[in-house]
Amino acid sequence: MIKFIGVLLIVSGGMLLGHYFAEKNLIRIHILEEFEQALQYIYGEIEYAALDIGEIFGSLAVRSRYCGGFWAYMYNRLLENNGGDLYSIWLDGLDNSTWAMYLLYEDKLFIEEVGKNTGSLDRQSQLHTLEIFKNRLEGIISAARSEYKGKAKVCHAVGAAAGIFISVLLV
Amino acid sequence: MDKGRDNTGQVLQVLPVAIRKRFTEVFKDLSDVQEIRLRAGRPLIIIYGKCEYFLGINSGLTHSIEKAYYVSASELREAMDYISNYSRYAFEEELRQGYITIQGGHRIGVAGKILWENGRVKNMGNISFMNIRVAHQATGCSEKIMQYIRHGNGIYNTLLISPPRCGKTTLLRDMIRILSNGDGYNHGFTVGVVDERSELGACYKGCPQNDLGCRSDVLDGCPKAEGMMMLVRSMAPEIIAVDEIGSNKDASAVNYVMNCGIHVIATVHGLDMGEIRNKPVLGSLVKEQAFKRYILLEAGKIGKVSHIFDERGVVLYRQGCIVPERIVTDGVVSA
Repeated sequence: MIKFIGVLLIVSGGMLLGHYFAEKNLIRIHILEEFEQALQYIYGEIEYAALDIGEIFGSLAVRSRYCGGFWAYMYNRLLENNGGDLYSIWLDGLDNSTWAMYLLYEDKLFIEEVGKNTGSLDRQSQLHTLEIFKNRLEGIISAARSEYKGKAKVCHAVGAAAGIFISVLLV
Repeated sequence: MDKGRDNTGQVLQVLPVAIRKRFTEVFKDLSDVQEIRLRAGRPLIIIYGKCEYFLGINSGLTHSIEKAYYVSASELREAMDYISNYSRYAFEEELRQGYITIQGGHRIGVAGKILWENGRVKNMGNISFMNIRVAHQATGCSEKIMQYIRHGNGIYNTLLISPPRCGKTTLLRDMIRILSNGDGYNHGFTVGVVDERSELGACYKGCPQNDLGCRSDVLDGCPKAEGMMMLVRSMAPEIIAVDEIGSNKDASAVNYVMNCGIHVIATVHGLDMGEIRNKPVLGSLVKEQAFKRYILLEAGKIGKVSHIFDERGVVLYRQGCIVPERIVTDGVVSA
């Protein structure tokens, strides 16, 4: 009976681990989608209201679910005027963000690049650059979405198989 | 007359961190600082009181250039980040005009590499020169002349005339404040202010940083003629105040506003009445007696009223002469 319970726990644990990795992919997609919305918001605020970037970050801090802390950090640091350009503050913000752990290395590089090209350009170039980033991010998200189902199946299967394998080994 | 509220803290916030630290060691506040001039690779100059100083390399102020603190190009970039709130795109129009107004109404003039396109300034890059002008509002400077523009329950259409840097904008700003708040003689008027160059209100994000009174509505950054029309249509002002009129469109708009029964207070560049009469655009307004009061400031002296005329050119006030109050009633000279 104890063996049976042990096997059940190990297999469930394996399946949960598989589910965690599958969910991690899903959260990555959600974060990227939210970031895409943020880019669209920044684009709109610059185009129609020419708001300064600190104000835009402040609004995003309230609107965002995953990246709210990051935008709030950016908003507060920009208000301080205590040294460092926007890019270095952006990198600090990314380092302090827990949601960044759900992203791939390429995603982080992409987000760093957005920070490098924000604020210091003239209006026309800024809007054009944001447009390019939006298109690139759209591509990244659609690739992530199309891969997600397959990856989720693999994660679940590998998790369950690993659980069974470990159980067999132990029994 | 007082210097108004102390809002100089905002100036410190836009200085690069290293310079800000030195400033906080030297100054308790910046209320006596007129200008701070930053130039890449050059010593930092402060106009303090009426004298010019260098910021010392070991803190303090100095007259010796050898002991002066030199500003680096990276510090200017840092200051520019703070001034523009890290958002160059949001200040394109201001950069085209060569200055940015920050919170507190302080004006920062910038110079650098100009990008010229289609006969106009497109943008400015490599900003290497910066002049931070600390705003000091001269509250109460127009109190003595208010008696000359009051008329029953209203005011006369008034034109302030002076050469540049003689204080006509400061005088107009204070007149707006008094008219808007009201005083012992008049209830407060609804004043519409068209502030094309953000000099009157020194608006920051749409909010006037200078005190323009509690009944003033400010159109910031709007061309004068269009602004006057917009105010008439939208804000129902009793008085419209506008700085530095001069073009045909401005004159037509002033005419239109007056025909709507709204009083106008305006300023114009000029040395004397003769020059104003001979100006092609304004001359016609003078001949039509559109303005009932002309306040002439003395050239070379800041804020000194030299003459006040009525619409026929009769002197109502001459500097140094005491003109009895109520000598002129309803436009008729009684003495």
